[in-house]
Amino acid sequence: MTLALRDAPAAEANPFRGSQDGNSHKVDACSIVIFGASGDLTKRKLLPALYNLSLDGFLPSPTSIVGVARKPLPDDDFRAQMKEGIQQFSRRRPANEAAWNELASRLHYISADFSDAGSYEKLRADLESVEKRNGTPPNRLFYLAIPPEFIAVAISNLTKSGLLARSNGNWSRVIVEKPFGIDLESARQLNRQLQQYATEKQIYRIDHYLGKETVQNLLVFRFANGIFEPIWNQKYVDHVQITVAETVGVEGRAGYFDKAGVTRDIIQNHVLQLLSLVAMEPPVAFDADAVRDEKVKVLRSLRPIRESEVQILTSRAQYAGGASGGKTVPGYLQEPGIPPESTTETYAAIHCAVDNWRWSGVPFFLRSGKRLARRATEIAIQFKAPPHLLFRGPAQARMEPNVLTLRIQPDEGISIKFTSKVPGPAPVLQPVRMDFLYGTSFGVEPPEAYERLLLDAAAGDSTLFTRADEVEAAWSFITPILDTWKSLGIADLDTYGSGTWGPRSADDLIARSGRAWRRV
Amino acid sequence: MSVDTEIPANARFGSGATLEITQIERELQRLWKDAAENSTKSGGGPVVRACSMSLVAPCSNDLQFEHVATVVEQTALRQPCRAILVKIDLDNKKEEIDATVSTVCALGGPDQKRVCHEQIQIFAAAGSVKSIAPSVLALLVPDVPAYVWAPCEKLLATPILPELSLSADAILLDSHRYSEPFRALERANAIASAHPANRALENLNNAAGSSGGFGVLDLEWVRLQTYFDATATLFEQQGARAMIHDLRTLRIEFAAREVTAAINNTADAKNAARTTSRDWITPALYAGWFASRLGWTLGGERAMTSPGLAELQFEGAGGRRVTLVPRIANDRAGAILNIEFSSSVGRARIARAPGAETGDLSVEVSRLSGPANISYRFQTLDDAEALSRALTRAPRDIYYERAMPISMAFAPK
Ligand SMILES: NC(=O)c1ccc[n+]([C@@H]2O[C@H](COP(=O)([O-])OP(=O)(O)OC[C@H]3O[C@@H](n4cnc5c(N)ncnc54)[C@H](OP(=O)(O)O)[C@@H]3O)[C@@H](O)[C@H]2O)c1
Repeated sequence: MTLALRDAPAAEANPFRGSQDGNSHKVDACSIVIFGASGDLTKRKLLPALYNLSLDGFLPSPTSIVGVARKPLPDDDFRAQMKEGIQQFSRRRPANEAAWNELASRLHYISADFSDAGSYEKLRADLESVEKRNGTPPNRLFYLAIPPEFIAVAISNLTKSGLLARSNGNWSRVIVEKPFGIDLESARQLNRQLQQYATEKQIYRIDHYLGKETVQNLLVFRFANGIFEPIWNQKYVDHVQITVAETVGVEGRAGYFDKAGVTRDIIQNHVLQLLSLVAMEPPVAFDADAVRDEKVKVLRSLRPIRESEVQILTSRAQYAGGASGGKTVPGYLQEPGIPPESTTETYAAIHCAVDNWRWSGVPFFLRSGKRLARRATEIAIQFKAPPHLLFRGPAQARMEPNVLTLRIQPDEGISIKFTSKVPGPAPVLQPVRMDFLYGTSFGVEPPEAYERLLLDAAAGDSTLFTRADEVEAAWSFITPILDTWKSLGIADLDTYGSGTWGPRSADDLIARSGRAWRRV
Repeated sequence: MSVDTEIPANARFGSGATLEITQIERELQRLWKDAAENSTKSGGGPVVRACSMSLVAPCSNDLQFEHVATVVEQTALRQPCRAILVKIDLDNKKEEIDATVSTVCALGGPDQKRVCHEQIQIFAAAGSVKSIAPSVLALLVPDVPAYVWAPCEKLLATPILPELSLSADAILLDSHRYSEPFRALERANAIASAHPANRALENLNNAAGSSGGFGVLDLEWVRLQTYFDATATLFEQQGARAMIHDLRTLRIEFAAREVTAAINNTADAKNAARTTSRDWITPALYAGWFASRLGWTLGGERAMTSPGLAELQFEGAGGRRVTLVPRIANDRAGAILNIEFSSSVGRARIARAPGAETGDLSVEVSRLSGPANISYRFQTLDDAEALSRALTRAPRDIYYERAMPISMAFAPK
């Protein structure tokens, strides 16, 4: 064959890297240092993700994994705890012994107190000796799986001890877990603190929704198919609904949840991220800054909701007792650990407007809640009716608008609803749904969100991480709503039965625009 | 994995020398409908028909056919496809062609959902070979890529593969499974060069900006990715990067079968394994990849420097050369065991004991204090995994095409 082909991406320093194998991801060997190694997130998500990456051969060989927490713990005890986590939570279990042993040989534990600057000298020395033993180059990925109040102090100490410094082509990055602040002011302050000690390029703010396969597919769906983009605008779209519904209640996280509420916990981050992906303009390139530039423009285009509009454009409520999943469940205020006078919302709905050329006049309805009828996360794009209705009379009764649904979980897939003629002599019309389900099409298990995100961070790709300006733009929209709710006390706080689709006030909210919530 | 296949009783779709294409299509529709109804009745949810490619696999003997059918079933679980398996009876000169159709369902994925694919099996006597390509063409799923997998080496020498390839996007081989892999690759490369899609690109004269065309995908190349990655990792170790542009020699030791009794007594025979052309293909592919990655150009022909060693010289200062050395070892024939890289500043090595999944990557650079040594886990792919990975690649692989002239130069004379 003599043809010249398009060359691979610009040659890198290592001429042996890069291939046309879609399964390979260029990752430097590095140390993944997890702060908060004895915590819930490490055991349930991070170690299972690292195990699966290692099983699939995605972790370059001399990678070291180092857990850090306060309690002193021998390496072997830490390994035993992590193995237990993998046996319990990995998507592939029981653990493959050979793969586990290989991973375990690179797994270490160091005890240190994050708030104590002195601990970092020891951490640095211990880390260097682990790296030397394993042959790991000094590339470091610090994962801060720690309570939010420790983030700033941890980063400042990392910097002061030189652990975040980069030299000789080696890198240091920090992954920060949500929540990024509790309102605009605290988010700004956290960003300022982070940026004082690290560059924005070193900071990876994780929103695990972005690691989900179907969320990434949203971009592929929109920008790799030519047929949707021309109708993805105010001319053809009637409105958009984004739903994140859970059936569970507070489930042992009462303390955290009651301080946050569903708006801080889900809407400010996950739901607004979904909205920005649905509404963004095509980026000039599929790279971190180009994609995030477009997303942040959407967030900045969200029309602020004024204090006087809050009761019209938002709804908030708490679940009352009832039946959910065949069980009798208590109301929110009766849950253990929730103060009886709490005004924290377990459900919220917001009617937003995206004030830009593409979406002018198209409402976006967002809702999220606990103890709802079904667990479902989806984005539904409802299209306008045809300009002239040919089919009248009884047949028209069954004419429903076209809806394109992107289901994020469960039953990930895409469906489209359209109207079809029922076979027979009469012009009877009926809506039909055409489904594409990942589960019945591809028999392979998609990677967990944390797998993808850890790998991207190790590869230096921050496309699926949130940038400082995105976080602040999202808080700019949400904070005035939260402030107004706070000042209203219980005046607008509704309730809804557990196992239902939410409060009456949310139905009224959408009904005011002549629309209704979809039955998910 | 539990597989359940729905094949309608007595449903054959041949009438002597021709296949009833319309009936096959109708039958497939009926089968999908039945599968959906059965699944809904048993509470299994809808069976959805998604299809991302047609996979055509012609074969000429029973044993291979069964193996191919199993591999295709496992692959289809990962890649929604229409599989068209063709069995050709080369000894039967009559004009006979027949087919069966089925939907094959297996439980897969995180929720153990039923994943189904369509399978058409065509049985043709040698006298009907001419009918195969037009029948397959009529049965390809419109608008999605088509791949021709050539598991049976014998068929590479017949016109059937070029004919089937005409309407496909790539031909898939498994060179390591062939008895004459170099010849097979040569034939596949010739099919690609003559393919109208590639010729059209050549005529357009802007091929450099194009990603289309017809390609050759070798499953052994896919299996070698783990060695490519090990090499990249090795040269990311401290001190090793400095060696890259000064690399002079590469020595690859690979596993071969036992020595024969006849040469067992001679002095050289202790090192000389009995090799066949098949044993050399894997190290030759690696060598082609390595040298082309460094931009080396051939400076001579394959030479046997001592019994059993093959060597290629390359242009450039310092005597660049690549040597392939067979070693008797208890491993898959051709499997790479040790790779030694040397330059004027130091040496680097990938070492894997026969049969082991894990090996060592080591670097010795004179200036470096202490040797760098790390362990590396090589991935082993079964046939279905290798096939499925090959199917997710773009049909044409620039690195493979660049490696080819060098790899082919190792063909035993
Ligand atoms: N769990 C989840 O599913 C989840 C989901 C999304 C986001 N997050 C976020 O992830 C972070 C961690 O969550 P988590 O649920 O894993 O919390 P957790 O179970 O409470 O664990 C906290 C960890 O931090 C360590 N720690 C606390 N103070 C420390 C100090 N001064 N020095 C050293 N180590 C200290 C604790 O170790 P010792 O006390 O043993 O020293 C423990 O390992 C939080 O920011 C949370 O919001 C968690």
